[in-house]
Amino acid sequence: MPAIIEIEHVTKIYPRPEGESQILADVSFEVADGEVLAIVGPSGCGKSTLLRIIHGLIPPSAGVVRFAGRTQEGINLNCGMVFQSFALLPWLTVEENVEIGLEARGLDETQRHKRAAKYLDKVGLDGNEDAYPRELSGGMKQRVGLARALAVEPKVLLMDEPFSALDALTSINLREELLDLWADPQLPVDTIVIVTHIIEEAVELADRILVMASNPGRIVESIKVDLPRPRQKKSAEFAALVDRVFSLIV
Amino acid sequence: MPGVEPLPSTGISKILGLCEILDDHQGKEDVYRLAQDLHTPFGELLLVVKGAEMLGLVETPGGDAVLTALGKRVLETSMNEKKALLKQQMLKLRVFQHFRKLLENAEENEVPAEVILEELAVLLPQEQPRQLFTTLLNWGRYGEVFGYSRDTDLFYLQKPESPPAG
Repeated sequence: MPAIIEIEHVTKIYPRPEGESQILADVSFEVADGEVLAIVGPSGCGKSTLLRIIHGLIPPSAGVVRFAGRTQEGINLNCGMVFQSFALLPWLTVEENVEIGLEARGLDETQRHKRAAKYLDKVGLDGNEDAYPRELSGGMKQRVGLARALAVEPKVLLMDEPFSALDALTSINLREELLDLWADPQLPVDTIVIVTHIIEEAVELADRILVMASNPGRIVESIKVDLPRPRQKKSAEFAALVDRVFSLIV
Repeated sequence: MPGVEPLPSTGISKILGLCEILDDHQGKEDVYRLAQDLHTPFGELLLVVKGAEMLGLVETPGGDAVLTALGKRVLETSMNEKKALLKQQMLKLRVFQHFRKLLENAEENEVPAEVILEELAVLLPQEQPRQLFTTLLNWGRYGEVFGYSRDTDLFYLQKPESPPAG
């Protein structure tokens, strides 16, 4: 598969009063079109910073990000982002939260309603359109976050620890539903980059896992996950892969 | 209505997550062991198991949780079919039948939330009405048994049509 995202020699340095702090050092990799790529690593290894650089929310200090062969400048409108903290606006309803990014993309009111309804339906939230975030459980809030990211019909879905704030059962449910959405041919998104510190989550979801180390953040290994889907989380092969990734992180 | 059953204080996402994990465990697991595996308080997991059992998704013989054929079907089907199946199951419960009927007979099929809370307090005096209200809303909205708008503080059967744009 051709690469849809190319990261070349990306470095990120933040100035600090006590001197520069290097978050990322010479990070290079590609994301293939249609791939689910997981980025794992210890806290502080710069994996969330890397995701934001891919999205164009923050610029790299050095290096290049290319999307579909073109050098990226500013926010990449082909990407949708799902945040750990859900990032919902509490004074807006579920439907309004999903519609929020659509006006800036030139959709009129009718188109926005239609688009929001489509993606709320996809994530199982029809019936909750006029709820406010505070009325929803964590799982339902993250469904809103997912619907909002999907509603912009991105080519690539970027997910920053999307299930880390949820309880175990809810995160299991949402991971399965994410895989169903990824396999849905009606959805334009077919590439996912997910940042997580939960190794089992990476092995369950990803075609490939990038393992990062910290101080400064860098990639130490790229592991292809060849296990057939749906993955048997109780299998010896699954457990062996989890152990391998774990041994690279600690 | 006599014999209205209380809903356990748990959400649909957790109930579906339980079904997923049972499926990973060949359809059956000891509930106590599952609580340990998931690092979830046993009492909290029991509420999830009870909810799944009320919806016909699991059975609980001898301390195990066992995925039913319906539970397996819910996992394997599309989102819309999943919601339709859960709605069907919810409407087998007397508590949902009661409020559905209340809405069907109400003017414009709308009832103030305050009335729902009062009804819950009368029907289930041993339970916490506010907690029941939250669960009823979580389940009912997911299954599209009814809707609720905080802006108007009304429960309703059908979402009112939006006025045409412009």
